[in-house]
Amino acid sequence: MTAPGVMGRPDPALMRPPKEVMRLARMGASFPTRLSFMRSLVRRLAREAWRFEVARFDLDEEGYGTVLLSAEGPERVYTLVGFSHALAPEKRTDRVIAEEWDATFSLFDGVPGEADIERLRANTPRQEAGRFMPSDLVLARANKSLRLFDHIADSLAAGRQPSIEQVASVGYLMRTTAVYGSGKFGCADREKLAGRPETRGAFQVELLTVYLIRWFTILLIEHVARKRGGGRAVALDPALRRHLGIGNATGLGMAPFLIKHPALTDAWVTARETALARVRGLTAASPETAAAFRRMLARARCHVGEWGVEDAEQTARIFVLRSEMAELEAWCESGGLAAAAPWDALYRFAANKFSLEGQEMTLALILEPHGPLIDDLADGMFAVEDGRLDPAMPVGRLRALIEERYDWALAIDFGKPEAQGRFWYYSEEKLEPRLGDRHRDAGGELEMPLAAGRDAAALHAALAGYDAAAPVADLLRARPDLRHAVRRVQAVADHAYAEIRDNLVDGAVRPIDLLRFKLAFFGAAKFDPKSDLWTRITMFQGAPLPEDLAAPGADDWAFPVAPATPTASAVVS
Amino acid sequence: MTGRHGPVPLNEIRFVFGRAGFGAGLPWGLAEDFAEACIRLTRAGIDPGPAAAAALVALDEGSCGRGVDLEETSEAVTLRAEGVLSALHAGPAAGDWLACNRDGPKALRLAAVDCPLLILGSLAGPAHPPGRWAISWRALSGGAGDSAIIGAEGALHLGPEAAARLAAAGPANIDIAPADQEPETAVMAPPDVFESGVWIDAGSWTAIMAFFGCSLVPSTEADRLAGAGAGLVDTD
Repeated sequence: MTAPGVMGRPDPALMRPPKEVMRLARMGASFPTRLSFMRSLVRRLAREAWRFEVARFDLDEEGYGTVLLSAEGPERVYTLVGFSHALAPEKRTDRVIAEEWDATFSLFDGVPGEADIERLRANTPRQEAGRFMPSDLVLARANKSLRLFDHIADSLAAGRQPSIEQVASVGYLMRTTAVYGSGKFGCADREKLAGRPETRGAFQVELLTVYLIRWFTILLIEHVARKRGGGRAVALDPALRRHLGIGNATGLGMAPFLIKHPALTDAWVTARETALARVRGLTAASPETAAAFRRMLARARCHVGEWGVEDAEQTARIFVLRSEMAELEAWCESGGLAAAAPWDALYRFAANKFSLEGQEMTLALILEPHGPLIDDLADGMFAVEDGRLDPAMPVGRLRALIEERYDWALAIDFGKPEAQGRFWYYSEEKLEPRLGDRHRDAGGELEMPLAAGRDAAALHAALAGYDAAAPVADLLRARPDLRHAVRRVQAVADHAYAEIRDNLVDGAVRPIDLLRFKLAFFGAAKFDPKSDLWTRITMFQGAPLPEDLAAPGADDWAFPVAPATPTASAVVS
Repeated sequence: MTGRHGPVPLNEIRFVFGRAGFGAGLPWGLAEDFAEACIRLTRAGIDPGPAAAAALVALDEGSCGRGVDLEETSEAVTLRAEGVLSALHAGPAAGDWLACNRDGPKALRLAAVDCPLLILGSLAGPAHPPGRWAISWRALSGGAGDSAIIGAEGALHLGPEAAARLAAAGPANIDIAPADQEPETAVMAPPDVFESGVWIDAGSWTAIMAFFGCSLVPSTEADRLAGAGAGLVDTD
């Protein structure tokens, strides 16, 4: 079933080229795959039989107080220290500029003592205004979904299960509005965790935190229901518990990360594209994988059928996707998977006929039944970026690199106003990342250095005055303003998928495309764009809760679908 | 002493110091190098705060040059500026020159560098210019002078007393040449910065944060409403 070389480096002809993959429009059509970081995390938790415990549950009648949840892996314990607060409605916002939240969290490295808990109680609720220690790995906060939280609490308190439709329409009890790691506000540096098997992968410790927060929300709602309903209260149906993920509101802060970490971005995309090429290289589909693919396609069609958003553009794209998935099913029914090299044929069918959403959905579906063939790639989705610069590189070599990697940027006339219509910046107001209009707003001179294409083009122009054999150091001494551009071009030289091949300061740029790309790698679903600048998503929806991890099928939660009917109500103990 | 601020993660030094450099007028590429130089000093157990703050102030006030001129004679190459040479420019320029001329016979002199400690930060670490380098300095105000060696792996060989003297030093001439002997001075014991964090002189931290603030865009009511997309209250 396997073509030569499939398990190692795949046939280069089956790798999609960067000029196709690293375009904003396609990035903005990404879906989570089985290589996404949430999937990797849950597989590890199940495989290594992590133990989860409620170490402290000290909430009052209203559900306010302190909760400690521990997660114990083979070598270490991590503890979520959560504080649940009363929050006035007018103070509830998903923006970075918020100053109070329904719940705030720190992930502690180990088991915190009383002094640690008291220190966190004084700092965690203040979030960015607090100060943290290397023992604190992650800082996060979340707000309730008001429309769902009270509905579920009241339903359970009254002895009945909540409306499946309402649960499905929101999908979470709380949404996180920031999850900080990697040395923010005094928290531990990434390097502290990079050598640990369980946290070496991208965003694993942040997503473990989110996984625990999701568990916290379930425990919280049942506690509130119990307090409201007393003996009448029932527990949340297991299928509904599992269908509740954790929401997230994501804004511009995610975008700079992608630009600042080109080697990491390359590692993520290389893994995904290698996985696709490996599967496309298979000469036949086994009956088991073909059946698994059909099952997953059917489930994904239901999932997309439940995916509803207010945004008109995304709604139109979802409608097209639904029809394309029907075509995909028809292609399978017509015997497509029985032919030679069926997965390659399937991908080509989608690439020739479907929208970008349809193509990327097909990619995710193709990967799903091939865990043994591709899951090893998840272990390589990290990178160390050292920011080195080679001043001895000949000018001619640097020029050739720009012409090879930034041909798209050299074709843009950056002298046109719309080609530099926007600028990215940090506001002095809580360092909120914002996007400005260069021709209207003040502050353009303080923009973040994210316009890699524009700056590479400027560097290329400056190099025209230098001998091809001269070292780049000569240019750097005369033009220190181009130093970051030299470093950038050299950094992406050995990383084919490192650079986004679109103008990130164009007047029509859609940051939402960057956000969706990154969030899909996280494993997020149900993208719900609220504008071109921010989106809501759902994380871990359908994922096993801690008590489900040991059961068979712990990894089988892609494209979750709302349960048909709640099972019998259970009395809360 | 004004006390210490911390613990500060290295990533925060990268973010704050880098943006502070930009806020003080450095181009982005040099600002990034400045932050990395400070991280290397931190990893060697040296608080980079006082030197970093002094260098930023000098740049901001214009009491040092904002560029580097290269002069070459038959014996040596000198990097200098009109007046005092800014370490923020001189460190990266020195590293670039050494990387291009590591086999050359000439020594490199940095004339009248304002904050010489930062030069060590620029030249140490895993991305240092290939080779082993002897670095000696003598303050313009006189004195005996000191020396350090950057080992072949980029480790900074510098005694603690010399490090303290250098941190407090004013403008100095710095000579850099290939080191042909194994360093005798012990490597400064790197602290476990990931367990304990690092601590920065509080007065210096305050000064650096002021420059950091200069890299931020003042908020207006209009961009508060529109710049990030979402509304100000969300009761959904």
